[in-house]
Amino acid sequence: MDNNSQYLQMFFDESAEYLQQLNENVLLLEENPQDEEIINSVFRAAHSVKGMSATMGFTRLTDLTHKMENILSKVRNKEMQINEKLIDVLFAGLDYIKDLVDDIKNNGEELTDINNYLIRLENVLLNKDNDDDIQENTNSKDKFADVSDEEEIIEDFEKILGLSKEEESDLLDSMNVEDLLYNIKVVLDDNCLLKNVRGYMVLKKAQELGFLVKSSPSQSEIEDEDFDLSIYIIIVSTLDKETIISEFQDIIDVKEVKIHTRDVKNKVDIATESVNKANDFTSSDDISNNDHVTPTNDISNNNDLRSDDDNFEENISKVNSEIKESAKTDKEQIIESDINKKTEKKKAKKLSNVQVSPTVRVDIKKLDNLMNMVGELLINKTRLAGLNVDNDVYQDIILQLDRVTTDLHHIVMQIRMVPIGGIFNRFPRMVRDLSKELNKDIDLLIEGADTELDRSIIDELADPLMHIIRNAIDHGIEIPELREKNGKAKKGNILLNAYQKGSEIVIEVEDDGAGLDKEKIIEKAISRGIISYDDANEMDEKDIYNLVFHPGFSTSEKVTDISGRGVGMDVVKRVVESLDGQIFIESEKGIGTRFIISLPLTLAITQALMVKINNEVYAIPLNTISESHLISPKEILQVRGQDVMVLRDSTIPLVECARKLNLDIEYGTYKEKEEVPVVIINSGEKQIGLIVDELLNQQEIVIKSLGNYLLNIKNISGATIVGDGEVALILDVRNIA
Amino acid sequence: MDNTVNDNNVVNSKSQIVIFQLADEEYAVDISTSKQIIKLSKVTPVPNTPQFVRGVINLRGQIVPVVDLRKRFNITGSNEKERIITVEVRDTLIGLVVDNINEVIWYEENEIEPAPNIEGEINQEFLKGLIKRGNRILVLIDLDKMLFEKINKIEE
Repeated sequence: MDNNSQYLQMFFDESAEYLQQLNENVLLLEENPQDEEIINSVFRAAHSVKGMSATMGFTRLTDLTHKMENILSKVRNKEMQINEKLIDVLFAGLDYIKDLVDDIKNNGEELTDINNYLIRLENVLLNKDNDDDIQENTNSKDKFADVSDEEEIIEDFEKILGLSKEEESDLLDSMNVEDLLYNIKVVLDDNCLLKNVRGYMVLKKAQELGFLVKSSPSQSEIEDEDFDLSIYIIIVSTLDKETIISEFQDIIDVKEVKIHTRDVKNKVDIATESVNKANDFTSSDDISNNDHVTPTNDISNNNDLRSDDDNFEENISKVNSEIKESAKTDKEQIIESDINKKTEKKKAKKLSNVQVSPTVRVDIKKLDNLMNMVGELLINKTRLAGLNVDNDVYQDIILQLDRVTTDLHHIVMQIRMVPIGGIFNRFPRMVRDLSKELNKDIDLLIEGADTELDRSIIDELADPLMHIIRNAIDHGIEIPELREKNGKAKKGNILLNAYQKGSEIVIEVEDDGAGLDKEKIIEKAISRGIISYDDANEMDEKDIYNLVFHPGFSTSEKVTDISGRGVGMDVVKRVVESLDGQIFIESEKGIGTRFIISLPLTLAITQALMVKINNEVYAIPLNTISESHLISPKEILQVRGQDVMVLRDSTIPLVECARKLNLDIEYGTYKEKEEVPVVIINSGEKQIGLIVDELLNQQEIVIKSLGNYLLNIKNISGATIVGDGEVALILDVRNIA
Repeated sequence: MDNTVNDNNVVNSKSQIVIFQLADEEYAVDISTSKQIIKLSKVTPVPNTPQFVRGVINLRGQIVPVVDLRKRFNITGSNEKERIITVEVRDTLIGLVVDNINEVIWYEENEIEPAPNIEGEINQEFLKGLIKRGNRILVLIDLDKMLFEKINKIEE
């Protein structure tokens, strides 16, 4: 395996994307088993994964996806019904794909044994195998088109390569009696090299065999290799099917050829109708048995409906399958008032599913660097502005510079922003699997999936969210019987919601389950030695709920495989806090639980209030501050030995920053000052007044980490560089009280 | 003004060390870890860190922690002249406050002698050994151990 790492990376990225797509769509498929749109997109995605795997030479993946594709193709041809079992099999397959891709990522080769699963797939295929075989045997070179092929090809052609009525009638006018109109689908081999060359040869061959009417991909698309493995062709030829098939089969790398003779007779009617349309002025009420009566203005509906009837009468003696077919064709015609438009739309859709999108993949590290540079620029701009040169030109330049850097900053921020849906979409599948496993009935509702968040934050969020949702499934939502007993709907609901609130993003995971059991939590916390009985009496509801964030805490009676795996809520809290965010719990017994995570929009730059403590400048992020005040020492009261201040009916405990930072100075001197600067912050759900020496200004700061030598410094979350090039530390006020 | 030390001619089995002064002792670190020598600018103290962490500085937009080697090795006495030599250990740039940078010399691996275990002296684990040159004794520091293996997050 000599894979260029660049291609490998692309393979990983794209396979991840397709897997995501597949997971989503298979889930949708379970809910809408009849939706052909979804079936097709699942099929295409599986096909793309197969193509990629084959190209990269991953044989197991290729086998696996190929077999899955066979099943999907049966589903697509309506030879197989979608049921829960089939969905399970498909999901299992997706898991295997993921495992194999992970193998390649971690070990450079495929390790996961998929033989049992392949047998399972075979069985699924065989069980349902009642009629025509779908090319199980891809090497067969002498496959003649059979009924199912015909159906498939008709459908495909309607989707991909329709002919407008004008094209159709022109064509029929130019055709001779012995001419036949063929739809041909040529599928190239997955491992085909030089796809564009083969495609070109296919078109060339078509031109030799007859008159090439139309093809998808077009010649230029083929030259650009802008197509999958299938080439659709419409030709007019005097040759018979078998000859045409064998001619195409002779081209190297052609895997299969399907052919279907277009029903010219039926089309002749339509053609004639459309020819007669212009000079026939019969009222539309006159729906007799006339073949050539057409209303003028009514372009399609009435007309087509009638031809529908006609056809039906004509075909009444024909075999069922054909009735079905023509009804389908005609139904299509009713829908397609404008085949062309539809074809175009289809094409666009098809393209968007193939890997052509007008985007550039950028390594997140480069974006980090870019962000750092922008940060540097901002700092230097601030320094320049601080010089305050009394010169009009200088002032003008500063203004310009200010505008440019601000815009640049916003653009870079936006580049880094991705919709949170990217991780939300992983969860429906998980909820489905887990609730099945636990015999629960749960719906996952997702809202606000388009809320955007900094990419680096999103990546970190996946695991904590997964854990919270697992918890909701495992401990929150009750089993259906119990829910019923308590007068709830059998089906439990989990709502995953994201929205922006000011400069913060809020993510909520809400369930309508049993709610948190305060007594149980206290009991557990005491038995674990986390708190004492006395503590328990002092605690309010919030404090009790927050106990679940203690390491190793789990309220589950028995340790389940699902959320009691040693990874607890403490990890969730830690991750959220490392992202400069906060997490709270709201819960009501019997009603449900809501986890609320709030995060800054971006990790890199934020607004901060600059303060002075012991002659050093510190930055306090604005998103943690509710307000700031200068109070008189007279306003400082004592409650149980704790300094407090009263602010609009609420009593706010005061905390001296210097003391929290263990600064080597005399504490409590603020009481001698005339004015005491107090910054009111939101720490968790509480408000606390931080006493500082001086309130300075508010400014935009570029957040920098202290690096991995100074990890986890108490009450300090990072540093920033201020106007004069010096370092100011950023206070971490979340747990300062 | 920065004097960047460059490792430009590598000779087998020989390596170079940077020798610096701490009070009246000479210490040395491997030249491959050292990046630059800078004058001491304003250091911002970081609360809740061990006393030997002097603070952080801004080095071309990067936040670099600064460790006071005298404090780290419990060497008393004042030092009027201070320099910072930056070293890169575990992908982390760290500044070491020293009294003076003396010179860069070549040495051979077999010159290193084990450091004698002196009670109350700096921790043995920080040292790679000693190199004797005439009447000079150069103490070779094991930066990785000194910076990362000892708990440097002393509360309070």
